[in-house]
This record gives sequence, structure tokens and C-alpha cells, in this order.
Amino acid sequence: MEPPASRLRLDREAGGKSTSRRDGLRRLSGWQVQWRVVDALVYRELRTRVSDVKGGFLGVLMQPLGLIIIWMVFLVAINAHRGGSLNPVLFLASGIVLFTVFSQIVNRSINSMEANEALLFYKPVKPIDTIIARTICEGGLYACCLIVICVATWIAIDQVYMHDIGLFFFTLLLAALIGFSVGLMFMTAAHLFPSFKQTALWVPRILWFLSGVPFRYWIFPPWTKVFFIWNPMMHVIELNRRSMNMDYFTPDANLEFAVLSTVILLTLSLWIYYNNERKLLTL
Amino acid sequence: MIKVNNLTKSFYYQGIKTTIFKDLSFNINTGESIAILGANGAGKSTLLRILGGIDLPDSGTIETDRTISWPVGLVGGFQGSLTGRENVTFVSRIYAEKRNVPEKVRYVEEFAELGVYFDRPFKTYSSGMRSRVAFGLSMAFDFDVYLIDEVTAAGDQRFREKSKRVLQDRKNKSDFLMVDHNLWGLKLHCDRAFILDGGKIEEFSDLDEAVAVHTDRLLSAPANQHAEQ
Repeated sequence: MEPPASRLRLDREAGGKSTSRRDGLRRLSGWQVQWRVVDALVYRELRTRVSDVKGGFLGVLMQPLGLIIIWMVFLVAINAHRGGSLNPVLFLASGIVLFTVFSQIVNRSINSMEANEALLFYKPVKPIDTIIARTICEGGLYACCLIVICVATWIAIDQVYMHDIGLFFFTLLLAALIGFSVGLMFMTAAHLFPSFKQTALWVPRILWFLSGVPFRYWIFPPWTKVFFIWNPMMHVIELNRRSMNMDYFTPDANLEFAVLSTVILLTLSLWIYYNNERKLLTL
Repeated sequence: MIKVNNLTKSFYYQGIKTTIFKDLSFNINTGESIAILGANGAGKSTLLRILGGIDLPDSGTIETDRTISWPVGLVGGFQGSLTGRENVTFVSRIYAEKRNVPEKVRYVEEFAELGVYFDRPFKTYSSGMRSRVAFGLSMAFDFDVYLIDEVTAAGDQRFREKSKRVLQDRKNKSDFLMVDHNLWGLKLHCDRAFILDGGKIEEFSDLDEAVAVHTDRLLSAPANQHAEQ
């Protein structure tokens, strides 16, 4: 039975998530349409990446892997790692990969509206869908990279470092969700206030140091602690390191704080987005 | 039925507000196709974009129980670095069941007749090739109402003839909202007409009368008015 016209009007106002009865053969719910859109966007994102590099999907995987290896060689060379009881390669890989997931999502979200203008040609596609798809792609791709590095390291040192595999993947998820939340807020702000873009680009660069990517923050004097412990990315990265080795000493890392911060950021970003979606589509 | 209530749309450019139309209200019954006439800049394409959900109005509502296409033939929705096949697959994954995606892609491939170019990046296509893929993609999906914006002017003679045939066939099961400066095409497909002029809409039940009024206004308008538009 067809829904009444008034209901359809509400559907349109809620984002126009309706599809062809003859092609979809049935009216889909908003969630089902969004699932289709995100699925299509993930396909497009991966195809775009594959068309940009040689070697197919392996090439796509090698690109961030190469970036991570260059960073690690550089940081080992300057003796910046100081990983304590954790293998230095795993220590750096954890910090670089989790922070890169966050920064890639944020950086790509800042110009997302301009970059994805063509996609908004299709009514079911909304700006938030492009960030969701990007989060899935970046999160999945870099998770694969971290697993490849971990396995390669375990083989090289003939010892498996994995204390809590659940925490390992959960912290990866938290890094992606924090990136999604900040990316969504930055996309909205950058579109409404274009001058914000330049400021926004500096945020991940500053956070790179404040997240303890190449070092453990508590090797610095105690008075510097306040600059680090407010940052949920620091907690997420430190917890990921601890998930690999239970002896890894990280005095302030707190899972409850990381989860609570993520939930607050996610709620705030969705509230900002839904209150400005109309402006994003009309400005 | 498509019911449009008090639709208002304006644009801002360098802080100056330009109202395209104000408080437009009209109904389109199931089974009728409408020609939208008006001078350049009158807001015809903007109205189609709003009806297609690409753009949003400042105020007003659109109530409908029908599925409406995106503006047919517009090439704006394609990613240049992806091939024609990949672009078509992307759109098909949104609008069709997953199992029907290969069928949709095959339809567009056969309609566009691009041969090996279908697997080359969209940005390498000529404007004619782009039009073929865009039009074929629009026709790959069964919508209740098609929004058709100047599509009969695109492509070479053979493509235009083929497009006309497909449109004629599609007309048997769907309705059209058409914008076209080719008045012959409008007469072929449409039952009645709207004239958009000065931000207001006038409805004509007789298409020939609407075309005559529109032509008369265009010819009698001062030259500088056209330049402004």
C-alpha cells in the first residue's frame, strides 16, 4: 500500500530519501536508501583510488603503507620513538596509523563539499554520506595496513604481540569515529565560513604532536601533561599500544574518557550537521 | 499528482539577493506532461532542479506520491577520473537493486555505443559522448516523471533521432516536465504548458496558445532585457 501524500512530503523534507517504485520496486526506508548510497560511494572511492595508482587494490594498500614506512624510518633515525616495553616498530605503527586515519578523514572532509559537488546531483546523496563513505574507506584501508605491519613484525621478531584483540580493533573504530565527528563539523564550518579552511588545516598538524604519535607524552616534564590528557586521540593511541602489550606503561590512558569524548563529539557533530544541512545544499 | 505550494527561490550574489520566483503554486495531474516556457534566466531550469531534489527552495513544499528523475541528460553528475562504466555502476548501485546493476550498465553501454571508450575515463570524452552516456543513464531507470532540460539539442543527428525514439517510447508509461527551446519537441510530447515570467507562473491548457504567447513576448521584448536575462 502506498503511503499517503503527506507522509511523502515529510520524507522529502527529511532529506528526500525516496526511490523509484518501479526500479527499487518498493519504497525503501531512509536507512535502506542511505545504506545503498554509502555502498555506492565506497565503491566510487575505491575505484577512484584504484584508477589513481598502478597495481590495483594492492597498489591502493601500498600507498598508505609506503607513507607509514617512510615516517617510521624517519622517526627511528632521529630516535624519536622511545616505545618502552613495546617493540619500536609496533609503537610507531600504532601511533602513525591511528592518527593518519583521523587526519585523513578530517583533511579530506574540509574540502568535501566542493570535491563532491557532482555527487549531490543525485537526490539521495547527502553531504554526510560522503564523510561516512570516506570514514569506512580510510578506516578499513589503514586497519589493513596496521595488520600487515603487525604480522610482518611478528614474523621478523618471531613473537606475537597481541594482548587484547578486542581493544585493538575498538581503538581503531574510535579513531575513525573521532575523525568522522571532527570531519563533519569541519565540513559544515568550512562551507558556511570559507575562511575557516586555512585554520582547520592546521588542527591535525598540531594534534599530531599532542597525540603522542612519535613519543610517549609522559617522558616530558609533569607540567606539560595538561596539554596531552584532554586529547581523546592520545588516549586512543595509547590504548591501542597497550592492546598489543599488557606491559606497556601508559599511566593516564583511559578507555571511559575516550569513549565518552567520542560520544560527545559524535552527538555534537550530528547536531551541527542536521541543523545546517539545508544551508549546505542551498548555499 | 505533483502539488507545488508557495514555492519561493532566490540567490545571493555578492550580498545582493535576486528572487527567481515567488510563491509559485501549481498542480500536475498524473498522466499529463507539461512544457515549461520562458525567456533565458526566467527560472525554468531552477524549477526543474528543485522538483528533482538537486536544489532546495527558500520556502514552500512539494507534495507527491510519484518518483521524479534528475534532470535528464545533464552531465553534471559524473566523476571525470572514473570510466563511463564505473560512473554508471555508481549511480545504478544507488537507484537499482544490486542484482539489477549489471543489466542497467549493459543498457547504458548499448545505448551510448561508445565501444572501448566506455571503459576509459569520463574526462576524456567529447561532449557528444558525454551526452550519450548521460541520456542513456537517465533512461536506464523507470521514473514516473522525467525532468527533461534541453536534451533534444545534445549530440549529433543520429543520436538526436535515437533520443527522440526512446523519449517517445518512454512517454507511453511516464510523464514529462520539459524545458526546451526547440518548440517542436515540446509540441510532440506535452499536453499543456506553463510560462515562467517575472517570477510568476501562468498555466495554459492549450499548448499552441502558450507557444504563441511565449514567442510573441520573446519577439516584443527589448533587446537589453534579453541581455540582462
